[in-house]
Amino acid sequence: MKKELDRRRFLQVLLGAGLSATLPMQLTPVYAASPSRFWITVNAGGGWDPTLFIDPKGDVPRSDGRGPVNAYATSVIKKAGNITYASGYSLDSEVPATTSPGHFENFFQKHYPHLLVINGIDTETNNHESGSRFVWSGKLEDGYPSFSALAAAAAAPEQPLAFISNGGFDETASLVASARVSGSNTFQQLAYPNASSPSSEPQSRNPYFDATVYSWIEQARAARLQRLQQKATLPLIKQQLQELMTVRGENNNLNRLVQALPSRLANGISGQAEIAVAAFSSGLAVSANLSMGGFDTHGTHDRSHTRQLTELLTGIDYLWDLLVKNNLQDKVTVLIGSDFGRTPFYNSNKGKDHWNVTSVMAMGAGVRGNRVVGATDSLVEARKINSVTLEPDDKGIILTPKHLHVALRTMAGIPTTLTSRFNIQAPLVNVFG
Amino acid sequence: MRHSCSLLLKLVVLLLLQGVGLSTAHAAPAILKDGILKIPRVDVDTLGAMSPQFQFEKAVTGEVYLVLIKLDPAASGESVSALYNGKSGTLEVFDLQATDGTHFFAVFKYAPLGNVVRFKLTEALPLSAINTGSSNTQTTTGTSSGLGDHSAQKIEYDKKCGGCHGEQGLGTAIGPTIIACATCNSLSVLESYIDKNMPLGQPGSCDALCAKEMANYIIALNAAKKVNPEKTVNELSLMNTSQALRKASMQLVNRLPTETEIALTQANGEAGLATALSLMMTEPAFYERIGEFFNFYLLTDKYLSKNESEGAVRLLNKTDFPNYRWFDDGAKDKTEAYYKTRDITNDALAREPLELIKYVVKNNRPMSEILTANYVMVNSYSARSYGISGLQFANPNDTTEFVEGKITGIPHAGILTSPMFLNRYPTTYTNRNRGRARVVFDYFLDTDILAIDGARPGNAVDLVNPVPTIDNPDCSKCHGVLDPVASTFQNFDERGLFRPTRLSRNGWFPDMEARGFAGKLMPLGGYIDNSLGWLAKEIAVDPRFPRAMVRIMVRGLTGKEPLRAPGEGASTSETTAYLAERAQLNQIEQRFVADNMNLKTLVREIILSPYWQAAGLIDPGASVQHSTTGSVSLLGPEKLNAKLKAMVGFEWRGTLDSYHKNVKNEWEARLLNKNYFQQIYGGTDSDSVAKPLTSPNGLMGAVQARLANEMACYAVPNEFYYQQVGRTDMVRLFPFVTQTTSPYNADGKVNQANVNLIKQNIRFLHGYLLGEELAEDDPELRVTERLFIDVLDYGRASIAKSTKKWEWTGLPWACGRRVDMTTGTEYKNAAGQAIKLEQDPNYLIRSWMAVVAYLMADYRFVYE
Repeated sequence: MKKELDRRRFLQVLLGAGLSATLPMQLTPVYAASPSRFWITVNAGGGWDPTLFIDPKGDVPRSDGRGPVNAYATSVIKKAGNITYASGYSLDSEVPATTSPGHFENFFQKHYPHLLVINGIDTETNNHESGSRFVWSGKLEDGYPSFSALAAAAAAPEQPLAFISNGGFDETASLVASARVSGSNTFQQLAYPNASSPSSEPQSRNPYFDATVYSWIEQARAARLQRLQQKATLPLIKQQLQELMTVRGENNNLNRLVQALPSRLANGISGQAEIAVAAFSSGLAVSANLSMGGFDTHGTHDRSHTRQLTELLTGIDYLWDLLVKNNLQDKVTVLIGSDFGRTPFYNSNKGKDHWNVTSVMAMGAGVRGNRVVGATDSLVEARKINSVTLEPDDKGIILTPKHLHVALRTMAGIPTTLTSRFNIQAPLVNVFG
Repeated sequence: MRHSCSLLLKLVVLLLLQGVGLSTAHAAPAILKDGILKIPRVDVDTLGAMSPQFQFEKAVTGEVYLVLIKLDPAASGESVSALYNGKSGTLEVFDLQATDGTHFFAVFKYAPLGNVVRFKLTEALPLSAINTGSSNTQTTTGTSSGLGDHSAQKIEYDKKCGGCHGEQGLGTAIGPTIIACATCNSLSVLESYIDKNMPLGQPGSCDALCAKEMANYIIALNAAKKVNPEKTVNELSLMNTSQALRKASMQLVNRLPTETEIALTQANGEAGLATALSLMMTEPAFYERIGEFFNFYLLTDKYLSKNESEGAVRLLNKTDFPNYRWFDDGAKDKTEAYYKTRDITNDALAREPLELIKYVVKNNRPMSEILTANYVMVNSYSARSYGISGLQFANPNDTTEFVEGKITGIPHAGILTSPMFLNRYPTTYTNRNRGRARVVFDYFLDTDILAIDGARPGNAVDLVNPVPTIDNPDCSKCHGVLDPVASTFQNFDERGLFRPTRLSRNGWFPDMEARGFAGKLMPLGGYIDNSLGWLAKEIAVDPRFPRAMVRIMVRGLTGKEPLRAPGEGASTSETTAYLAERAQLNQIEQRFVADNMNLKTLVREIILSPYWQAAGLIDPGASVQHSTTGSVSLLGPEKLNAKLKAMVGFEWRGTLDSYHKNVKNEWEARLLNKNYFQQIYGGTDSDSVAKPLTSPNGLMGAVQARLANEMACYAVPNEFYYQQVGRTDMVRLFPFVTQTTSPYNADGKVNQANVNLIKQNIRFLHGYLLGEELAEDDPELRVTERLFIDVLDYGRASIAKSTKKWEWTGLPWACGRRVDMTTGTEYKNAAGQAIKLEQDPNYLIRSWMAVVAYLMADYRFVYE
C-alpha cells in the first residue's frame, strides 16, 4: 500500500520544506569537482533497428513464416576486429556513397578498435515515451533523471552549460538546469552581454556601460535578488529566486566557449557535437544529449532507416574526430542508443514496427572497445548472459537498461547520495570495462 | 529473532506516523499478545472468512513482519476486522490492539520468504490520533463510526473503482480523486453517473444496485475525510486587486491595465476586477493567448511557415483539394507577392484548429464545440485551398478574418477532423489510430491511458495470442479502453484525409474493437462515415471534458498543470495540498459547466482564485503543502518579447535608428527568432522542441543580462530623444524628468526640487517596470537612488578629470538616437537641422540607463 514516493513529489516536499536553497547550491560543495570527465549520449529517436548494422541477421527466412529479419544478403555480414556488422545494404535501401563516413563499411572499419556494441538489451516496452525514458534513465518509471543530467549534477551543476540538451529524453529531476543551444550562433552576444560589438576585438567591443558602472549594476542586481529571496514567503517564489541567483551567481565564462567554437556551426548531429566538444574543452559543460529523429519507420523501413543511420553514423564519426582533435577521447564517454528496437520481420508496408529488444553502442573513456557484449537469437529475442563473463549463458540474466545504468553510474562515480535517491535495483554487470 | 513486540511496534509507529488519523470501529480488534497477533476475521478470496494467527518478527534490517503460523475459519457471525486484497497483496488491519492497550490501524504487504507466508509492516497509525492531528485534513476509513459499516462496499470499491481512483479515493494518474469531487456531494447525481459510466469502459459491470452501493460508499468516504480546503487557502496571503489586475492584464492581453480598468478595480474591488477581466477578454490579444494555451498541447503551430515552408499546405493534396496551391500560377519566377500569399494561406491552414478554439471562445459558445463543430474556420485565403466558395467576408483582404466554412463531402467534427490535428498526431497501418486516441483521452478527457495500471507482458510484443489487444488481459486492459476510440478515426487515413468507410476497399481491421467510447458501442445509423462526429458528441457530455479544459487553462494561466493525484503512498501534506487544490478546481469547474462551458468564465474563475493570486505564506508551517502554490512563472521568449513591447514600446531588434528597416523587412524580433534567442531562451517550435523551459539556465541568465543592458541603452535615450522632439506620446519611462534634470546645480550644490523629481521617477519605474507599489520610504527605492547617484557622480568625476572630454561625454553609438523609430525620418529643429541625441555631457542619461538596466534584469521583470 505504501508506494515508493514519486521522485518529483519527493522533491516538492523538500522544496516546500524550505530546503530549496540546499538543493542546487549545496550540491556544489557536496558533489562538485572540476569537470574532467564528460559524457555524450546520442539519441536515435523513434526506435532504431540494430539488425540493420550491429546485430545483423541477414535474409534467412524465419521459421514462423514471417519472412526474413533483414532484406540484405547474409553474405554481407562481416567482422571488423571482433565486431560483427552488416557491410552492405538491401536493394530497398538508400545506400550512401562509398566514401561516406556513415557507410557501414567505412564506419566499422575505422571505429571498431574503440567501439563497444551491446546487443540483446530488453527495454520491456514498445512505447516510445517509456522506452526512451528507460534507455536514458535506467528506469521505466518517470521522475528519474537522464544519465546525462545525473552526471552533470554530480560533477559540476553550477556550470552554465552543465547539461546541454538537444532534445530526446532530458529529464533533470530538478538536479541541474538543462541548456538548449541547438541552431544558434549567438554565443558571442551572450559571452559579452555588455558589448554592443561582441564579435570585435576586446578593445573595440563598444560597451554599453563603463566597466566600473557595469560592475555596480551587476552587484546591485545580485544583491536585489538576495533581498527578494530573503523576503519571499511563498515556496515557489523562493525557489525561483534561488534558481535565478544560481544561474547568475557565477561568471558564466561563455567567452571560453566562444573561443573554442568554430566560426560557423555545422548542421544536425555534427553541429550539436561541435557545441558539446567546445563546451567540454572550455570546461563549461559536463554532459550533452545529441539527438536526431526519423527512426520510427513503420513504412519503407530499409530506405528511410538506412538514410537516418548514414546521417547518424556520419555525425558520430565527426564527433569522434572532434574529440580526438581536442584530445578528449580519453575523457569523454559516448553512448549511442534508441527507444527500443524494431520487429524482426517486415509489415505489409515494408515497414518495421516496435520491438522491445535493442542495442547500444559505446566508445571513449572507460569503454573497452573491439567487443560485442550480449546477444540475440535468430528471432532477435534477447539471450541471457553470464553477469561476470558476459558470455551467453542460459542460467544468466537478460540485460536491461537498468544494468547499463548501474554500470554507468559506477563508472561515473555518481555519489551514493544521488544513486540512493534515484535508486536502480540491479546488480553491477561490468559491461563497459 | 523473535520477541515481544509492543515496544517495537511503537517505535515503528513513531517512524511511520504522518499525522493522519485513521479510525475504525473495532467490534473485533486484532489483539497482539506475547508476540502473537490474532485476527478474528479476514475475508480471503477462494478461502472465505478466515481467522489467522501471526508471529511478529523483526529482520536485522529493522523491518517488521507478520509470519503466518495458524489459519482457521473465522467464527460464525464474527464481523470483518481486516481486509486482504489479493491483487495488491495488502492486508489492512482495522484495529490492532497492542500489548499496552494502544490501538493502531496497520497495513501489511505480502512478502513471502521461501515457503513462509509473511507480511511486511508498511504503515501503522495510532487510532487515538483521530481528529487531533496537525493536519487540517482528517482522514478516516474502514468501518468506523465516521464511515459506518461499509466493509462490503469497500471490498467492492477496491475491486471495481480502486484501480483508477485509488484505494483511499485519492486518485491516480488515470483517475481523479473522489474526495471533494464535483459530483461527490449528491447521492442521486453520483449514483446516476456511476450507473451510466463506471467503471470506465465497462459500465455494465456495475449495475444499478452496485452504483447505489458505490455512491453510498463514496458519500460516506467524503464525509469521513472532512476535507477543509478553506484552512489551506487561509494559509496564503494574496495579492491586492490592483496587483492582480496588472498581472492579469499582462498575462491575458500583454499590456498594462487601462485607466478604465484601474478605476473599475479601485472602485469595486474584486467585482471591478471581474468586470475588467471581461473587458480584456474581448480583445484580439486575449484570443491569441488562448490559442497559445491550446497550442501547448495540440502543437499544430509546427506547420506555420516560420517553422516549415508550406508546412500546412503540403498536408493537403491535389486529389482531395484540387485548388490547394491556388496561389501558385506556375510562373517560373516567383514574386514577393507570391511568397506572401503562400505564407498567409499556409498559416491560415496551420492555425485552423486554434482559430476554431478562438472563435468558440469569442462567441461565448460551449467549449465542447471545439470538437462538435460541423465546420472549419477559414479566411479568404485558406478557403480557396479547401475549395470552399460563397463565403461572406467583411474584408477578404483581412488575413485575420476567419469564418465558418464547410468542405463539401466531409463530415466535420471540430479539431478531431482537422487535417492539422490528424497530421500532427499521425497514425500508421499498424498503429491504427491508437496514438490519436491516446491524445484524445489525454487532451480532451484528462486521462493518461499510458498510466493504466497493468503489467506489460515480459516480452512487450506478444506473438502468441491471436489478437493480443483483445485476447491478452495484460493488453486488453488499456486497449479495451483505447481501441474503440481509435476505431472511430477510421474515416480518416494516415494523412488525415477523409476516407468514407462505405467506400473503403478493405474495410476496417476485423481484429480491432468496434467503434465506441466508454463502454458504449457507436450506432452505425447516421454515423458510419461520421464516427468522429459521434465521438465528439459523446465527449462533449462526458464530465471529464470540462476537467480537461480546466487542466489546459490552469497550465496556461499558472505555468503548471494541476497537482497530480498523490496516490496511496502520499504524505499528509501532499494529500492535503492535492485535495485543497482539487476542491478549488472543482468549484471552478462547476461554475464553468454551469455557464454552459464558456471558457471566459473559466479564465475569470481561475484568476479570481486564491491559487492564482497567492503572493505569500502566512503560516510558515504550511510550506510543504504549498510547495508549488502560486502562478508566478518565468516568462517564455514570446511573453518576454510582448512585455518589452508593452513597457518600452518596441521589441528587441537592435538599434532604434534601424528599427524601421527591421520591421519593414518583417525580420523576427530576437526573442522570437529561432536563430537568435528564441530556442536558447527556452522557447519551442511545436515540433522537435515541444517543451518550454520553465527554469532558467546559465545561457538564459546571459540572455537576461544582455537584454537588460541593450534595451536600457535603446529605451532611455529614446525617451529623452522623443521629449526633445516634442513627441511626448512616445514617453513612457520618464514622466517626471528630462535629460537635464540633474540633482546638482551648476555650482555643484544639491537641487532639492530635482532630487525630488528623480526620486519620484525612480518610484514610478519600480511600479511601471516591476509592478511594485512601494511607499516613499521603502528601502528598495533608496538602493535604486544610490545606484543612480553613484553612477552619476562617477561619470561627472570622470568627465571632470578627463583631458579628452569627448571620450566621456558621448553616448555609446548604439544608444544614440537620430531618426524616428518607426519611419526612419529625421526630426528637424527650427533651423532645419536634424535633431540628434548623441551626447550626455552630464552623465545623466547613462545614470538612468544604469537604473533601467538594473530593473529590467530583475526577477519581477523576467517572471510574471
